Amino acid sequence: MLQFDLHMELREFSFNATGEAANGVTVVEGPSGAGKTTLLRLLAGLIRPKAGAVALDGRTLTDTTRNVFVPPAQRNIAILFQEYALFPHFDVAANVAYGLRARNVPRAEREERVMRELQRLDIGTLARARVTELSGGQRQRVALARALVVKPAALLLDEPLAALDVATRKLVRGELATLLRQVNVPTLFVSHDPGARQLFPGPAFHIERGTLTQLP
Amino acid sequence: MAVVLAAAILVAFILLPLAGLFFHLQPGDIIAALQTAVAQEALRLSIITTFGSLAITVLLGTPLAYVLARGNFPGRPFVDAIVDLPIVVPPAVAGLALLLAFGRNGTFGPLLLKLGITVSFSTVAVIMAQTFVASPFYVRSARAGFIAVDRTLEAASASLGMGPLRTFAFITVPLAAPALIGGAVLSWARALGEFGATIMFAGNLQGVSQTLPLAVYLNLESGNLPIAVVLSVILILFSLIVVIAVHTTAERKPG
Repeated sequence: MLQFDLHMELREFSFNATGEAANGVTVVEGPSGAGKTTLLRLLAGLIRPKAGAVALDGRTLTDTTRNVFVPPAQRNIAILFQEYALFPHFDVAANVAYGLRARNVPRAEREERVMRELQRLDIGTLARARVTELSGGQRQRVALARALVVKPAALLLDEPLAALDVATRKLVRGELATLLRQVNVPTLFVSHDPGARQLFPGPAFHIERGTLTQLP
Repeated sequence: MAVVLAAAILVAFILLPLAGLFFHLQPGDIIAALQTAVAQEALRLSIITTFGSLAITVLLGTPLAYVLARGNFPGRPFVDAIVDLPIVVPPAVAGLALLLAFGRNGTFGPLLLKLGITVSFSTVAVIMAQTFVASPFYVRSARAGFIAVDRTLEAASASLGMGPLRTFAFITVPLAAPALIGGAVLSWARALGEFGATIMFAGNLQGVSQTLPLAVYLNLESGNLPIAVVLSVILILFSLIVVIAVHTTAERKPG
């Protein structure tokens, strides 16, 4: 369970988001510039709210009244960035292994888990490829593998389909939906595309000018 | 046609005097010059001091460049300008300023003297003069390199569990490496050629503060033209290596 109550002043409007996300996919939809990415960055601890709190499975990650702020590296919240943010100086396997290296997982176990994750996502043959040589769909899988291999306590996806061309998007949507349904942690799927709700017919939020509302 | 002519004139103007130095070189002179104590000590001193000032520059300049690239603090434009200042301040003025600050009778002179340190007219003074005039070249380049690193990659590293120091070491530095190396090479070359600030602040003492450029000057003044020419050619060869190195690192892209 991911709970949040976040407030801050942005340039054009004030941001207020209160809600919770249970295990499984929760869609957050709203037009671009509405504050979707801000919400994800606040949850991940990449920016600090002016006031508010974040708790994940009962653990307080942010609480401005008690001056609690767990740095992003210790939150165990994985993010799939809009442009995937793959490390260009590492190959595919090293990208996926990165979070395990951060957790000081021994080399042998690291390699085994990376290989298993790559195979699960059907990109086992790309282990030694440079990330700059990959197609959009392949990049997305590498980014997903990198996020999932660490077994995060929550997963945040920032417009995961926006960086793909239309043809690839159609191809990937179904796959991504199947994959994400297997991830049994609070998963926020942020999208400006109203079609995202058809993909994940569960709980959903709408965000507009910094105000988050629960959808029926 | 006029463009080609103008371009050719400037290229020739740069190339001909430098190439001309090589024609003044007699094969016998090279060996004879390199066997003199004055040449050997200048060469040794230049190597020690330039790598000393480079080490200080990288050690202190890297955090400074990062703060200038990423920090958002009041007075940043001011600090930015201060860092650039030594590039435009005449070296002789820099040398005088260092002397008045750290010399025996300078502002910090009495304090340093109490600690038993005399800075001016020593090898330490050479390193200080070089760091003063050369470090901005590194800081500028490193700052530009850090600015060019996509901050989303640093955010991705943090969200995957790497703390700020490891993110800096594994993501930021490797991606900024061409700019860091290029800046270090340029700054080293500037230190190697340092003359004005060194002679003002550190003097021209053989084995203590007489680096290669100072030795060129002294030998020309004292009528030892062949030694001056040989040392000049050595400096030109170093410069050539630097120019080639900077051009190759600038063309190499990460990833």
